[in-house]
Amino acid sequence: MASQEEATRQPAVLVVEDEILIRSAVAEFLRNVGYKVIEAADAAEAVAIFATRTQVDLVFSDINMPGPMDGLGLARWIANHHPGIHVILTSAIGHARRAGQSGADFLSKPYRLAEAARRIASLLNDPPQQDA
Amino acid sequence: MPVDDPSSSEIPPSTILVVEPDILVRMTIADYLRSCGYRVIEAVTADDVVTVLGTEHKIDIVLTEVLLSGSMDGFALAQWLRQNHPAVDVVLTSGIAKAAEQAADLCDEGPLEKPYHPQEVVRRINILRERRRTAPQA
Repeated sequence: MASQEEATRQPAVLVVEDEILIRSAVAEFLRNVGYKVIEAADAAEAVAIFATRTQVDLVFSDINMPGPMDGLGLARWIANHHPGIHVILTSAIGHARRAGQSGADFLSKPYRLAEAARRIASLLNDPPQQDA
Repeated sequence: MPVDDPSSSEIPPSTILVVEPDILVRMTIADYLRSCGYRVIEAVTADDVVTVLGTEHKIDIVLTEVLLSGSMDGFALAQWLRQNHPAVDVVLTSGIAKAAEQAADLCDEGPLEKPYHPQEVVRRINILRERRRTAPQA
């Protein structure tokens, strides 16, 4: 019963982005293609969500965010505390190498929303449920 | 404004902009309103609201906490909206219970049947907060 429920539940993506227009656009796009989406405006909010044991399968996070922890720090924190969760980091500046050192995938800005969805689906090995 | 005819598939859902600095309250209220059929945009500050309303997004309702950080609190935001976007309805909340009650009222007017009693929303928020409080320290 548990494995059947696991197979049918919506994958959950945590979108971490301080710019509201980007965050809401990404979140809405991912919801429309079938993901459950949780939104966080910075790394501290993302950590708070993890503390509630809310289902998260993948974190899609900007690197440059205000506060004491940026996206690279968040990726390292997730690798240490939730090693089974995939992380994709995004940035307009070339952070690909540092993202990899944090155990995360990297998507450079600007990105197409469909490309972000494909990258997420690839990591989750779970194609989106609906057409984009 | 909310759709009265749920059978109409041509009318887009009403859009609510939820302004709430507490992530757990914001997440829970937003999920609740989406389950009632609303399109929801999540914001943290009044500046976020100004940013969103400066775009082509059509916002029908702003549901905002009174205590906000940044350049404006909820009262100032409500006044700014009345002056600059009079077509946008404003609902002010203060505290979890009031936010849940206001969200429930919006769902009462929404296109789908209510999934939750407002006390259930409060209970879920309190469960999330207790989990955070008792979670192992990072």
